[in-house]
Amino acid sequence: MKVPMSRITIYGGKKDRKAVLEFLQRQQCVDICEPDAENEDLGFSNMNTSDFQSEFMREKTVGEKALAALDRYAPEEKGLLSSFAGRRALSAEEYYSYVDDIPEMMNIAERLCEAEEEIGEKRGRIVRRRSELDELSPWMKLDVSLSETGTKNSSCIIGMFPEELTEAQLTERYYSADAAPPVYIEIVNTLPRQTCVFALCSRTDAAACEGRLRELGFSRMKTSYDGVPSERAEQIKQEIAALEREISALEREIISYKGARSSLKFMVDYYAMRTEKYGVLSKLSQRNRVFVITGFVPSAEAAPLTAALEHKYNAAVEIEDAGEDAPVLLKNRYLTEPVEGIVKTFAMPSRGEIDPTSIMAFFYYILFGMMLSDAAYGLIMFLGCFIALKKFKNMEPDMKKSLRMFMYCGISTMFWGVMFGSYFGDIVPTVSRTFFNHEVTIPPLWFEPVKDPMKMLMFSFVIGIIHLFTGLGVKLYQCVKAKDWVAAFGDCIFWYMLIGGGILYLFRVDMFLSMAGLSSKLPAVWGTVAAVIAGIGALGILLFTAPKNKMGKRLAKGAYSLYGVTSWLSDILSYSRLLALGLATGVIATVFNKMGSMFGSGIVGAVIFAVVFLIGHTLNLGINALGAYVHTNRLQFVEFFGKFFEGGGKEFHPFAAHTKYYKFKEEI
Amino acid sequence: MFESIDWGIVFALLGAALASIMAGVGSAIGVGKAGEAAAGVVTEDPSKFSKVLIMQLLPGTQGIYGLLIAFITLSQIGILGGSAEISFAKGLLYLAACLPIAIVGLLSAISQGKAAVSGIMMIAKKPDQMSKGMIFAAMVETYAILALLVSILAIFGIAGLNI
Repeated sequence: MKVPMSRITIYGGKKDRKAVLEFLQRQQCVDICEPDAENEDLGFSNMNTSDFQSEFMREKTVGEKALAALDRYAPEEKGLLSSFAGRRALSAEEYYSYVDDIPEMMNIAERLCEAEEEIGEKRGRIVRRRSELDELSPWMKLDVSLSETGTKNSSCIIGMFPEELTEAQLTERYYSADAAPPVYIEIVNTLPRQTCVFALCSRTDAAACEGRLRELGFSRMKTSYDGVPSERAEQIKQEIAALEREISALEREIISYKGARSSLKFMVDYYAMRTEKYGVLSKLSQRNRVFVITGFVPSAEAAPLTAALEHKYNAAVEIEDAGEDAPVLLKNRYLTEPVEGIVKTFAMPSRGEIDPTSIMAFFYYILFGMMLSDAAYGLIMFLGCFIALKKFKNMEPDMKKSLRMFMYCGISTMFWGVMFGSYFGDIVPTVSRTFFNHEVTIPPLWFEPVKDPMKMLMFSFVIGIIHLFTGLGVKLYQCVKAKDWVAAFGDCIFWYMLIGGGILYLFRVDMFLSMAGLSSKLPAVWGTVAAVIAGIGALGILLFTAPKNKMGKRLAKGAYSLYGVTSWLSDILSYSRLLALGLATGVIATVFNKMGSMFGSGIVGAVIFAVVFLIGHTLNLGINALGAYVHTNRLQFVEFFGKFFEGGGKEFHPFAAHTKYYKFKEEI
Repeated sequence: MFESIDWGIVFALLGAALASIMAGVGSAIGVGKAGEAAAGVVTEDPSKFSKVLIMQLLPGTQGIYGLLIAFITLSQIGILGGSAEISFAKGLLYLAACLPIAIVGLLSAISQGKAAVSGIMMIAKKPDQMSKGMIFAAMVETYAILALLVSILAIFGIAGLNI
């Protein structure tokens, strides 16, 4: 059901502005909209709060970064199921003590971010030092400085050849040219594809000597530092060690702040809240001493809200009809409420459309149950959700809705499992046969789809037709409500006649009867009646789809619409997935049972059976529950909603505190 | 020497093998592609792990359908115990019955993998739109389900034939 909305306008004195806004943020029932353009003509203006907002956003980001740093070095201890736990509610007392902490927390947060950055920078330096060390490693045996140039009369040349050479080879190659000046060559180190060389010659020959070496592929070692390589390496190692000590000190410092985590979380929430509040503040029309807020409120809450605002905050309140552009809030109860989320992920109903949640919920549970259809899996789902709901009372509303939905889906799965006689597939006969040599079976309450797939297929189509006709019924209701009689007949009633007549006629067709396993054929008069109904339907669609157009166009549009009968066919066939997915669950479960029971009835057999059972059925339940969820959604979105629901409404988004870690309920 | 071979069971087993091989290969390719995309998203934001994991699993169902058909065939032709006497014609029929899920499973799983990759990209940008991404990928699966249906109905039908 869509909650009726009213338009609310609040007029107040500027001195009460803060109090009113905080009151509204706590009440969480007003969707504040942009001010009327005509207010500006009356001398009202909007406050520009973007500077404040960006400042709050910055502070929030600092807090988030600090928390991320804290999580990296001192991860929070969380239980496996902590995501169910929900936000903690803060009392007013706690709130104020946390607010007092904020300046200090801001310092801590900035320090944390700084420390995190320093660590990153130091890590970078370590990497650079290490690569320098790698560069030096072949020169460890050289006992002069790498930038050594020689003495007064001698010149030394340090560098490398890009190949592996021995001293003898090098000398021989060097002197193979005629004009090569005398040289002393010492190999410092040879690596694959590199030979590090120290060469010494007379200072007068230096240029000629180096030229000759270059001809052989020599290149000088380029360095940015002075000193003997081994000493330099030692120095670098010490630097790295020092950096590592500094990093671990910084890490310890970060960890030492882990007590501040809860206050930091509060800070993030606090600034999120303030950002939201200032966002609303910019939507206020203000003049001298007064301000005006316009927005939407659920009609049921309008009266108490008005009373509170008028008495406590000296404000004047005007409640009007919501008009056409009102946002949409869905409200359902008990069994139907949990599937609201599914409708929302599709679209919010627009004006003139009803909220399909309650009708859909009923089919949702049935379709999901038929696809999973195993009593034991259903029980597991039901118990899992039930226990989680009982254990985590403080769960967030959306999470609660999802769990409740799966709990009801579990019940439906159990029901269909019993109908089709599936308990972990065929666990009962398998175990009794393997371990007790005496086969026990639990007969299905209705029939076993594996034994009679045609019957199951027909049943799936019947469910599909009911589902689709219900969707068409909603469309009819909407047309009648809007007094759109042409659409009511052209788009709904004639279709009922065409499809319904067509289906009835099938009961006269031998091929269909033999496929469906039915023996009794309807009397001929039924066939005639069905054909006549379908004929009238087809004719109606042809003529009344677009009655306002000229005859030729009218018929063309009608004929096009009539072509839509193919989409009905594919829609109905689409429900065959009920059979396919239902069989998949049962047969795969059977496969695992069979695999487990292959090892006989001894102790080893029992242990292997238990392992295969656990892994196999966990896998099967997971995959098939996912499949059931996805394909139930598909049937609802494509087949069912396709008949009547377009959506496009705007979701009701009340001004509230959208926080991440804490809830603020009390008056603060 | 071939006259002594009972060709019926050979073809029937070939069908079962093809169903699980081709549909399995398709799913492996699809899930693999989706997995690459999923890993990319998780490097940016580890908290999206569970969402992208679900998307990654979607192209995996074809492999399961293949297994399902293979298993039903194996049990029908008596390989999993019982007598394995299948006439030549019946063997060929089983082979034919396995082909829909084998071929459609292979190709649809690959296509579904591509749709899942796009869905994962969508989750990276708009995590709240996840269910729509799932629907897009599930659209592809429809055809695998239709093929599965034909295979199932055919296999159950063959068992009752007297040839």
